[in-house]
Amino acid sequence: MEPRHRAAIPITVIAMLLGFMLTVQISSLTGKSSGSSTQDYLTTLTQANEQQQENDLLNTQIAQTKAQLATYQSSGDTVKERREALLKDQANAEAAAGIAPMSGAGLVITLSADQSLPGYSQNIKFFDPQIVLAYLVNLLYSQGAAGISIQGAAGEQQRLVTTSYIRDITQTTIGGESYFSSVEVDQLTIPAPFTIRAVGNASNMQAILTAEDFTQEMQNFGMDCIVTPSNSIKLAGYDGVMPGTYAKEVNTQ
Amino acid sequence: MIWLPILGLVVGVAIGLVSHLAIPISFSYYLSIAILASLDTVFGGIRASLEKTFDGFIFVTGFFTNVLVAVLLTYIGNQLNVDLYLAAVVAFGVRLFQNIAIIRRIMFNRVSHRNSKESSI
Repeated sequence: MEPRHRAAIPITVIAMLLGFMLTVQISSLTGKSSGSSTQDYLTTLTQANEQQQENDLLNTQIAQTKAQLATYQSSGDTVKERREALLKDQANAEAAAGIAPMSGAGLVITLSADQSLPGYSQNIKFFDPQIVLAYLVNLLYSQGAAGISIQGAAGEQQRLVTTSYIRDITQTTIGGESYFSSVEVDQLTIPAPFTIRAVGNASNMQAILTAEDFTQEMQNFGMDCIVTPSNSIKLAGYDGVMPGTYAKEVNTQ
Repeated sequence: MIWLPILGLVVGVAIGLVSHLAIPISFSYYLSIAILASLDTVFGGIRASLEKTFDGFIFVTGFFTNVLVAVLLTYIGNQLNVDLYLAAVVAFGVRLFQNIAIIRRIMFNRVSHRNSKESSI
């Protein structure tokens, strides 16, 4: 057989193998590099990240729970002592949250429109109870107020909680001047005049009001502001639906 | 007889298409190197055939040895985190171009030789 013809068969076999390998390689790579595999990769990556975040969150919760357990175990030697400590914690938490009644020393602040004040005729229309009350409440909290309530003209009283809101709702016209005279505090309408009661360190709270010249500022608006320290302020606990709407994860399945 | 290797190539492609065989992505790297080694062997065989020095045994053993060594080199490179496959790519690539150049020259010589023969007649 001629050398060229002798070569034909092995070369043909190897060429066949080459063709087979080329096809397998190209079809494998084409299948792997399609959009679905990229999508799968991204989905898996996202899931892995979510799982990682969930894992971190759970680890944090476990650490917090362990710390809580350690605190509980160290609160007393007997079950009775520990139970008492837990109940005390519960009472403190409820008081801090504003859902438990509270009493003690503090300040009573009244805000009422006074037509005899020089600023009334010009500035009462600029009085905005939503802003003023929120400002006042923040000043009092900044000085360690443990509990605050806002009371209206007819005795309506609302205890503030951590997610409370104060909104202007009603305008009143007196002598041709309109101003907001009612606010809504956590779904309760409270008309002016307002009485704000704050339990806490009275001298500190009074000091911040003096430093901010709060009384004079109110008088400039035509609002009479009287700040009275008291040793026996009683605040009712918040008993309504907890205010605050927030986004929640829903199960669509 | 040039049509026979081409036919073999076509048959190989057809088998690959019909079989629907797909390899894992981690092995495609090795197959790429094996394909390069096969190409080198095939062109080496064509060159030897044209030079009338073809030996079937050397050709077949050369094919399998080249493929195995190239794949082994790639595997070792992966284990050592060194791009050893580049050695195979360079060696096969250079030889591939050399073989193609020699095949081209031989083909040209034959064609020109045939033309000069026809013109002398």
